Amino acid sequence: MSENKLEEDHILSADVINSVKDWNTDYSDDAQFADTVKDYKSSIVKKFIFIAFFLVVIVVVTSIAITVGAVNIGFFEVYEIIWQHLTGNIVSDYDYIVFEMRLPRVVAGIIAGAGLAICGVIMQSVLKNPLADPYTTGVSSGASFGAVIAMTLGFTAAFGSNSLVILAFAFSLVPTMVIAMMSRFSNASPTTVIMAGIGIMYIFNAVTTVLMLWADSSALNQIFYWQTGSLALIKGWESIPVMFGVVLFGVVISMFISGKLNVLATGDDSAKALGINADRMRLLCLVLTGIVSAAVVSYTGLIGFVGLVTPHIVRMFIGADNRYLVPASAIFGAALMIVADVIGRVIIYPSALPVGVVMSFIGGPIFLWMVIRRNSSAW
Amino acid sequence: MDQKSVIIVAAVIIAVAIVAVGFMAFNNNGGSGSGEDDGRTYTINTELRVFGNANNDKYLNSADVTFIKNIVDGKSAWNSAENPLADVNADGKITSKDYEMVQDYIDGKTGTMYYVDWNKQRSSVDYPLTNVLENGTYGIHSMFSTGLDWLIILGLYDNVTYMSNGDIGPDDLDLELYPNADKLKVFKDIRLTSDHYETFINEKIKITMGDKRWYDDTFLKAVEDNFGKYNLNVIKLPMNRTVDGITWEDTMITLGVMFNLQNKSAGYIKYIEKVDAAIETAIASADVGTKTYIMPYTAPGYDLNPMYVDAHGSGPVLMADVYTIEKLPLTSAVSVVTADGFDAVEAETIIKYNPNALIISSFGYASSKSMTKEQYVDHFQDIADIFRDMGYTGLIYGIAFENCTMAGSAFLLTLAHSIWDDAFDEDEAWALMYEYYHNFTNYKGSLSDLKDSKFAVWENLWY
Repeated sequence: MSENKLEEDHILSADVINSVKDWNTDYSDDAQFADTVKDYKSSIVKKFIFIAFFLVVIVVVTSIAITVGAVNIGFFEVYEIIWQHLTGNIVSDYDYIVFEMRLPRVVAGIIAGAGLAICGVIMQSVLKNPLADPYTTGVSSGASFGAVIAMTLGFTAAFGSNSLVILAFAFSLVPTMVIAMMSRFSNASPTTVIMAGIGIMYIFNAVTTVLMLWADSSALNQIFYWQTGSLALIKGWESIPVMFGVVLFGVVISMFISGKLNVLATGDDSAKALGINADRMRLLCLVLTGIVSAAVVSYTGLIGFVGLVTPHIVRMFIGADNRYLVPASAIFGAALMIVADVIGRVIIYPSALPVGVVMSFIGGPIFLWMVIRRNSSAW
Repeated sequence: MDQKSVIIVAAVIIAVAIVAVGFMAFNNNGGSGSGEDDGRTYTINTELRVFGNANNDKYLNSADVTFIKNIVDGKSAWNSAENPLADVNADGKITSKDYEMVQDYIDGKTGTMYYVDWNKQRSSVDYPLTNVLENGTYGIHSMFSTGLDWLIILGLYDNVTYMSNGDIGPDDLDLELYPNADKLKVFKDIRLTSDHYETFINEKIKITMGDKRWYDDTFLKAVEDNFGKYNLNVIKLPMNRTVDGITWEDTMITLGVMFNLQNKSAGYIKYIEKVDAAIETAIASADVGTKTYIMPYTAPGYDLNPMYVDAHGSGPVLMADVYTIEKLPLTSAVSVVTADGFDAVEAETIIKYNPNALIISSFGYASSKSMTKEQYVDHFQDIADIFRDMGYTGLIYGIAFENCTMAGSAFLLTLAHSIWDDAFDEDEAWALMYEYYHNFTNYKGSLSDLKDSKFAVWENLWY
């Protein structure tokens, strides 16, 4: 019976009419599949639009960031200076300021933001904990300990500030190594990792505090400045190669394992059923994030919130699929870092707020807002 | 997790660490300031720290030229350990080039002057530094209110354009002592990083002077890397803190030469020599005996208990207050673990040491226009009350400024007269103190005004 005749039939009740309509609807596999594919493609396009959008944001914000500074250099003049430098035709008196001071800082911000963001994504995925960040395993306390040693025991006075970077990097790897060693005796479950990280953090913090008690006021000032995190600690281009190399390595590996992270997120038993050794995978991820975050914080100090907040924000837009979450978080984290740095340099000009402070001001309220509006389907 | 996997993980971490650390170390650019850094350290035994001061006295003059010429002519031998500054161009030998450079300095010819800095390394400044200012086109930045005193002595006060806010800011400076200080621009951050470097360029500052601790490496690197394009002269000599035995007296003497203003610094040198001679004479002529002291330190907003003390510390940087006060026969009754000797100590601990004298040093009071004499007297009295209530019966003094300042030596004899009144003559003490304020500051009061001013030492001899 046609639908029109159904409608005209006054004897049949509405329930019967709806039931007939339902039976007559095409729910064949092909139709459903076509709808699903269409929806899936649409969501993928949205993810790519998100990624592309923030790539554009990075370009725009970077363009602005390079022009910000005490010396008033015009927008186009800045790019003229960069072009002249790259072509070996340096004529401007401001070449040093643009190319050796502002540009390395901005590039470092992009690298640091991307590195810390992907560390946050990986940590939250493998530990299945929304509060996990790059420092959960104690990397920050290890780096802080190394930096404080450098500043209080005269290493920086004797050997320059590279000694601080070296010691911060070396000691920031210690917590990860301890957790790796501990996994011989215990498993590498999320609980184990978090508890071990907290324990290591307290130990390092205690020793760091003792050192700080003996530090003079100048060293304490340096320590405080380093612990807040700042891109002003970037010294020209020499800071870039190691950071870039390690972060690039981290991004590539994390893209490579992003599919496995999705599996791991479903639970250890499911992962094992699908052929993934959950403990080993988790440990490798911890090592990866430990190395990447160590490479960043040893140069920039402890910049917080990027690794914690970025994955949450990005998840709200593109979901929890790590294959897209990882690159999107890297890009968003880079953009966020540059925006925060520009704000810090402008807001109390001529003084500057360290980027770590600005990130805390930005990240705290965002985090509270996300808690209030928590969309548990995305986490 | 099996052993093999753990070993692999550990090996990966160690390998990455070694590669990264090795790259960082290999890539180390150790330069940390303007001028040449040949990596050598110099041990010198003179207050005038410029290369060219061949005879290790306090002046750069023809005597140094003669000294070097005698070596070149074979009339005397060169002892590189005793007279390292004779090798002006640091080529390892004494030649005519060395005395020609000294002669150029004496003649005021534009060039580069080298000196031994607070890292005991060879650094340089444009010479003479007065030319760098190009008749007021460029300015000077100096840290803290005490950093303005040397400018007054050298007659360069009008060239200061920026200061760093530490003890008190330019808004609170006594305008009689520091005219137009309220018009000075200020860096609110004491520590200078690369963030501030652009401001130096933008604000046309070409000379900066301050404490070693407040120049971040990123700032010094920016200065060094861009030297040649923009010559910002960082004078790496201590102003307020004694660094590895280098005192502000050494700095003052060296600054006079760097600016080619020895005619101005010579007066201050002679004054300090007069004070030192008076102290030595008094000690030699009477049996004064060494007394012990502790120097509590106070400032607006500081806690009264525990309170900071200036003492001998574990490192090379020393609060210069200790250095100055120990020109008198005084020995510190305490040392602390911090590197610079500045640490918080409970009042009870101070009492336990039972020093002969407590000499309360402070900063910010003497040069502040808002802090009156009555206020700081009340503040000192509050501190004294704490010690008296705990049973301390020794001498208590209060000084309304840091001992390490230019004014630090001026009050020594008046303090000494109070402690050893038989050995140190009161009239001579006040005369010397007045000489400092009359000749080297903008103070306009009379001797009797000075005796009643906040520069005079506050006494609480017995409760």
